[in-house]
Amino acid sequence: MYMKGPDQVPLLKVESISKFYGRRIGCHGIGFELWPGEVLGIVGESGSGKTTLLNCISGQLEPSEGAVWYASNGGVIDMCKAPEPQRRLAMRTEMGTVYQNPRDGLRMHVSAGGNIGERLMANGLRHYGRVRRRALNWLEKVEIDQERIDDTPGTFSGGMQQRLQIARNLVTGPRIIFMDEPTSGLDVSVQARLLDLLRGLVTELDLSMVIVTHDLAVTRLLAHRLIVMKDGKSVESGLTDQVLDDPQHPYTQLLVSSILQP
Amino acid sequence: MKWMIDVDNLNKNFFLHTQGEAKIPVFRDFHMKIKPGESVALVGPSGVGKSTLLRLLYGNYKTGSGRILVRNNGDVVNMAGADPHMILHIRKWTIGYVSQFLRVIPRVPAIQVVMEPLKVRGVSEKEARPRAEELLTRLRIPERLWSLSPTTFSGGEQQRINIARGFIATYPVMLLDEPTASLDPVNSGTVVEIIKEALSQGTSTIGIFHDKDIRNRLASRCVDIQLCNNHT
Repeated sequence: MYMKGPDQVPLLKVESISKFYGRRIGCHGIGFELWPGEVLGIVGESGSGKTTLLNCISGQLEPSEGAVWYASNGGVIDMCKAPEPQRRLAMRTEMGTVYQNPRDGLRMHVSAGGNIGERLMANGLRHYGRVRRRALNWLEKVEIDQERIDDTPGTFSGGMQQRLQIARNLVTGPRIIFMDEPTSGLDVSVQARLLDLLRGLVTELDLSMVIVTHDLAVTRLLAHRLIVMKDGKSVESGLTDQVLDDPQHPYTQLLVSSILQP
Repeated sequence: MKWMIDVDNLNKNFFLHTQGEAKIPVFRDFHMKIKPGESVALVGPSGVGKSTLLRLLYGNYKTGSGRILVRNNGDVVNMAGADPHMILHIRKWTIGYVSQFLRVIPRVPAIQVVMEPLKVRGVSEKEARPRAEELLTRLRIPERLWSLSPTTFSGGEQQRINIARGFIATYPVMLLDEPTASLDPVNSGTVVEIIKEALSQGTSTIGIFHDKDIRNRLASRCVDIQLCNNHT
């Protein structure tokens, strides 16, 4: 069997990102590389700067310092400095964001099918029948009954809303997905289902993902690599199993030793 | 090619910051060389660092100082300093690892767990499935269990799933942490056969086998961790 070398170009290269809110530090001096098909977990307690970092690298918040190089289909661009249309195009066609609160990521008064179809139509697909077929197909992929296509997300359970958000994002075939605590509002059995779904999609579609969570078990299941944050800084990073099984920093050791074993 | 793995001047301590800054020394100036196709058994009393060494070789534990050189498709990679991206590449193609315990993922069927190492190499399900079925049959996992998640399997069944997963793809190096620990003699015999087949194809194995008989059947050389280590 032919053994390929590791990929030569990272999809995302984050260089020393900082975000200051006046004198307060959101995040400070964070850098990493994300490769195609790789899942990066960002962990840490509330207020450690995880979400600030995620928003900076996903183009939703302008960092105070640093650069985010993204290898888009049209060439490498700096997500912080690229012209607005170029940045928007990359965000709309090649990136997706799944929010902790489905209300931030879904249109609550538009049908499930409309939610999924919106990005397709924004990217130029006009044929109603085709949009609907793609929406049905994605409902099935995320394990939502196809009969619910005309219902609004408000009538869905929390787990279904999260899965609808995922479908809405993945329908245009993005290369990278940003997720902020996608499982934290869900009960455990629903969490397992969502995680399993995500695992499958990541492999099937060769997706890259950055996932912010405070749940170390989630990262063990999904993430290849971890960044542990405390007070806006990265205190430790590395392979997920190495960081969890042989944590070096006192704070990571505290986090790992604080997990309750059922 | 003289060696497949060259462990040079390895040092490893555990620092328990949350437990009064305790320091637990494990390796000091440890050396070991493994040749291609060689089968080495790690020996020494419990707690001496046998499993730790396997985990260091796999990049699961972080090396303190020293080098762990591995031949990877013509290149030499130092696992002790390699970035996560490279370590994942090595785990995909060069070093396989069978631990004592299966880390089960809820809802994923046993057969998928077994096929995964081939699928991440880009092998199609159509090609991977027959190989998985063959291994599961050899290891006497009843067919009705193949489509179920191993979460509820017995310890012995989980371990056999782990073996099947470990040996479905071929690796130049295999790390084996008590692969037969919770198996009956018949199944242990099958596992020994599977390991021997890998050895005959040129795989180097580094293993921990508490069962003397199994160790004698598999190992061409024993490495006594205490004797190679300078801290005691």
